Amino acid sequence: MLRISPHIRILRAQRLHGEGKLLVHAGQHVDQGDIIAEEITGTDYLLLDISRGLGIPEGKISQYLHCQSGSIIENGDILAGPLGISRRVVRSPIDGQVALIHEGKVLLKTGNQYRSVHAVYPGKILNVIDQHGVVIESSGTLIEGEWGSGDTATGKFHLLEENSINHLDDIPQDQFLAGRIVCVVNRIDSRFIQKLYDHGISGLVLPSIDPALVAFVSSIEIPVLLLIGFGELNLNANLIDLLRDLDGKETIINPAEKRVPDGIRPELFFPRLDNGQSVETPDSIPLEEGCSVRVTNGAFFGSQGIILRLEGLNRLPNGIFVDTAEVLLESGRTRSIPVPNLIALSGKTLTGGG
Amino acid sequence: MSAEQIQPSVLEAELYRESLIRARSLLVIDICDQNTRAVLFDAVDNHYRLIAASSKMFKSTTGDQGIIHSVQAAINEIELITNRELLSADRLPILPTRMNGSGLDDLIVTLSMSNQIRILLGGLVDELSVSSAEILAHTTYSKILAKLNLQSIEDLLSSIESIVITRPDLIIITGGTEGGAEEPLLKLLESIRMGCELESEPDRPVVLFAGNQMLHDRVIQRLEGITDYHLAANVQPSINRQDIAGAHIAIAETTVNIRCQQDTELSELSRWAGEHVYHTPAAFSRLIRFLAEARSSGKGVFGVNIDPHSASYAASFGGDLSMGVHPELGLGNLPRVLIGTPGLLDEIIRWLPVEIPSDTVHAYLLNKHLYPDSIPATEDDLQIERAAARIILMKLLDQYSRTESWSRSNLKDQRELPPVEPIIAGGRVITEPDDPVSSILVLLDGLQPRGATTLVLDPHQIFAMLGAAAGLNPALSIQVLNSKAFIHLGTVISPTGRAKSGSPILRAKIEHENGGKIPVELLYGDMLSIPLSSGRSARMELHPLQNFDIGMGGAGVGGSLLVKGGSVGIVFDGRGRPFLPPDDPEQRSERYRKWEQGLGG
Repeated sequence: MLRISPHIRILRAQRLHGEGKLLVHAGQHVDQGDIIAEEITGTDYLLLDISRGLGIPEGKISQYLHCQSGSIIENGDILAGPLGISRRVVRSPIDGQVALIHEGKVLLKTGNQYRSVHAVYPGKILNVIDQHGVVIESSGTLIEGEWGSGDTATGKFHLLEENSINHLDDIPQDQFLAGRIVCVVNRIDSRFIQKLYDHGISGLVLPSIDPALVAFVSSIEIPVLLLIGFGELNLNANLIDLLRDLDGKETIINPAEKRVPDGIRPELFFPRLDNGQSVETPDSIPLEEGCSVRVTNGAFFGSQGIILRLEGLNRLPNGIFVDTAEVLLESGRTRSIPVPNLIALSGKTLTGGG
Repeated sequence: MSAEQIQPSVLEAELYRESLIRARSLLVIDICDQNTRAVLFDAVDNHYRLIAASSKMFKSTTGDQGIIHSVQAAINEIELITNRELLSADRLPILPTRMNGSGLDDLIVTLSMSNQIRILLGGLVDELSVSSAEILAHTTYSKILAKLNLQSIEDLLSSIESIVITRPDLIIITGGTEGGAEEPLLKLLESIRMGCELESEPDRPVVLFAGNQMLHDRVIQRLEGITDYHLAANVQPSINRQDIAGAHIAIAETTVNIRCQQDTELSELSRWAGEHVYHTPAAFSRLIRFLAEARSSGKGVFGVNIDPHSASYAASFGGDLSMGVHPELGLGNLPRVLIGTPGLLDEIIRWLPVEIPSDTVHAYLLNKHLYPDSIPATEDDLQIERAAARIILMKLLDQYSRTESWSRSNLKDQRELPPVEPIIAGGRVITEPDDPVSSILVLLDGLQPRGATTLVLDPHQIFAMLGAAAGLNPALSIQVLNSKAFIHLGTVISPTGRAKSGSPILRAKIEHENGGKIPVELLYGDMLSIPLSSGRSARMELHPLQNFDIGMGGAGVGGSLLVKGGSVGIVFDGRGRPFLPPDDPEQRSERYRKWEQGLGG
């Protein structure tokens, strides 16, 4: 887990992949799940060979055509002709619009296939991006994770501090856990994950997983979010306390693949009606003495700490020359960590995993 | 036969004279995925040298965390290092140099951003032109969305739909040998024209036509006024010949244009550089090709680069060029391949010189995917990355062995590298830390060259920059290539064959410039080195035993060789080819210790 922001305003863009029609406007409030756009997922075309239909060469059909690019056509309309004694014509077999006329052929657009686009986050439509998407402003608690798989889902957050599979057996299936976003505090195996899936949970949040489980986790049909990473990485007591406070609250799990340049990370978001205290900060906090950091490589991966001193260029035990920082880790130990392996956390960040 | 230096001396002399007349300073700015590098080159004592380098991260592509801001910050750092004013008051590069010494003569931008260009391929036959189009697509950072072939061309509607649905940035059309079939290609062009017309103008894909050149007029006729298009040399001029050398330049230029169109800050940067903007892998391969053309040994030149976001290679023999850019093989992206490729983790572990538990290796690589630009902090982490680098090198060779250029080498074993000299390698995972023996082992394990070759490291990642600069200032490129900015590891002799472990497979006599002679006996399974420092050369007599092949004319054939030194010297790799380290971790660790000792590590 990179960062927990308990009371914050976030801005999230939702873009259409292609053409479509936005159904909302700037300033409008939307609830999570509201339809905000109809996106065209495919277009139906019909190609009519006019030259073959009339039985004349491509170069001669222009004088017989009764339509042009953009013309609205109804079923039975004459597209070309009449020609010759038999007064041969080509009629449209369907309603549509002429998309193209080229070399004796007419391409008719006969309809679009649409998909409804639902608001992932509740909040105010801050602006509309050139008819290609919207930016939604929302307030609440944000927990940013490290890795995710699957699609966005919503549900009540449930913290499971018990990782005994027998405990799950005691819970009746299709009750209680069904539809929830379950966060398991401890490390679990594939049987436990399968059991949770069988209970009908809507999403799964874990501190970390055994790397051998990554293919399995990627294949199950619910979103999964890792807060810290891969390997034996555990949540600390502070974070577990904070997660306890969120138990039972509505949450959105968005396991989007991390794209650092775009600021996109897998995340959990707990919306609240009131305004957040501050707008989410970008990942641009400079690394300096006194700032809170997370370690992103090596033996202390996932640990948090505070920079005591920027040490300048140093030789690591493996021989690499690199800028290092002296970091007081939350375990109480002080370690020299390469600066490229540190990310600064916001001043509002609470101490999390490690 | 001689192990030559990496530049032709006659050409250098000519260009050197030119450089004495008018030395020009050059700043190269390389835009990578999340950072900007700026490198200043200038003449010192009548020789061009790398003067200063700086690197700055950027967090978004625009604004005060954006590319332009990071470029200015990187230039500021160079100003501080050199005590030379390079930016004007309005934060623009000062071009050209002023009388007071401030400013620059030339500015070049190279683009190494690995975000992929979305490509639709169109050709006639899957095994020929479509395959050539795919190889061409892999000369840039590409994502192939769909392929159209002869069958799909017959269904005009589905071809049009492919374009509308996939919404590519670029369509590559190949096919039709010179003077060959025209009708199917014209149909394909027709569907592409119609597909483009269905898109609004700004969203229309660029079309690159690299098929039958007899059709160029008709391509122009169909696409003029509809969308941007480029005409390139035919990548499949005959059924038996594939040639991407001409078309890869066109695709590189198209990549740069698409990037600049998509990103206003890159477009601004392009204006600063007077449109001297180059695609990094193309600039890299340009210099590889130039070096190969200048060689007299009949060998080719091979270059590799591994960074966190992509891996690439370029190979050139005479005028021939093969290259490949593979984002999926970037050190930080390899874990994605790991998830979908059973057995790959075991392959990586097989090349670990130290014993590390499998789940530790797995977790390290997956976490590296989360933070690709992080660096290995411990010896074990470094070894994991280097084991992965060995596999990446093998996979690059796999890609190379799919090209027709490789096929023309008539080699038997897949992954066999044709005779090349030198091998130029870049990427932190290979060049850092400054430990030549470890770097040599990674390269020899991953590429397994045969016969004699030389190994050169590019620790400052400037080889592609020099490729980009070669058109503007060839003297600078050649002189910096021959400077200490590159690390010459030495000459490697790798006999091919099989023998009983510990039995002699090669005898050699090394005669130093001062007349001193050193006899060498290489045993099967061993590695050893004889010191010969950079800039020194020696004459070597080689006598292969047990019918081993040292690339001097066949099995058992020996001869005399002039070799150049390097930081390790002359290396003898007696492990045979192809070579696999022991499966047993303990034995493997023991062997690697022994090999490192043999190489003076």
